[in-house]
Amino acid sequence: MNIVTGTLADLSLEIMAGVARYRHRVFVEKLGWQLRCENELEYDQFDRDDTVYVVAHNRDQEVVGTARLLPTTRPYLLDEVFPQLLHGLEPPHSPDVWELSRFAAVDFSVQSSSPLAQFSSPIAVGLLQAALECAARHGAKRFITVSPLGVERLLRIAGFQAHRLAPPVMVDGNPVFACSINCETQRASVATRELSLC
Amino acid sequence: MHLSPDGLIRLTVDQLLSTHLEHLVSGVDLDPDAVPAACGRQTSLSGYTEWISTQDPTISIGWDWRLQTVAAGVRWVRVGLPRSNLMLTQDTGADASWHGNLEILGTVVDALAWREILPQVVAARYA
Repeated sequence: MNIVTGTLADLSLEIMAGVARYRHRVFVEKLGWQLRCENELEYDQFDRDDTVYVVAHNRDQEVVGTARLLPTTRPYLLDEVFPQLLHGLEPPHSPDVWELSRFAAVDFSVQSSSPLAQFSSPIAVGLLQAALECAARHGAKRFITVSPLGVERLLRIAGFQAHRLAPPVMVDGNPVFACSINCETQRASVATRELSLC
Repeated sequence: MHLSPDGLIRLTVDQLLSTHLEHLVSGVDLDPDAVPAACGRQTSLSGYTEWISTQDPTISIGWDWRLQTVAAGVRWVRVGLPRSNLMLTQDTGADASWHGNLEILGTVVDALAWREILPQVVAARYA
């Protein structure tokens, strides 16, 4: 697995198109999220010039994982779209805190019995580790994410030090929560199962 | 009890023990790859449960459970350590260790009446 990081200015048009197509396949086609898309490409208002991307490719240069990093000093998903997950807490706006979103680790070249089972790979842990290191290079001390509740369980199993910021909230019938992940002390011990963050 | 910039609520064990916690939501693990259990074969049931305080800042504690078969029937068992937005502090005001914090939270939630409530709420949600 080869991982590249950077902003729109750093990454080629080909890579960014691959990211948008991959995100559509994962979040819209597989997970059924209701996202506004064009031409089977998924991107939104948080895909900006200052957005940092972490992209994993396999040996055939196919995208097998993505993550999106946003500084909380500018608009971000939790603050703008899901502030209710903070239960009245002030959303962080600090260069120390970055948001991790659109995290996916699915290798579509691997046959699996179900779409969800394809999340079960070391790609997820490797990608998250790379995202944490990338964010740390930008000054982050912790990540915040909007996540399905099950991700908290998986982060712990994988050895990441994470905690919730507030109680979970039911969104479309599923419990979702705001999660904080420490960037400074992370050493994932076990490659485990699926991780998908909004 | 106070909310810290890192998003954790810091409080002592005594403060936690005097805090009323209410059931929020519980669910059953649904594994899309699971093979349906055949008639007469033993099956398993596991899931999660979430509890909150009714005061601000809102304390949130969740943990996993499974239904364990015993001679007298079944019993609800906590699996692993709780997940929370709490950090327990010592008398000196210093944080407990990360793992020690979770261990203590585990003993606290074991004292809650969750085993009495869960059968009803799980049955109601999936009825």
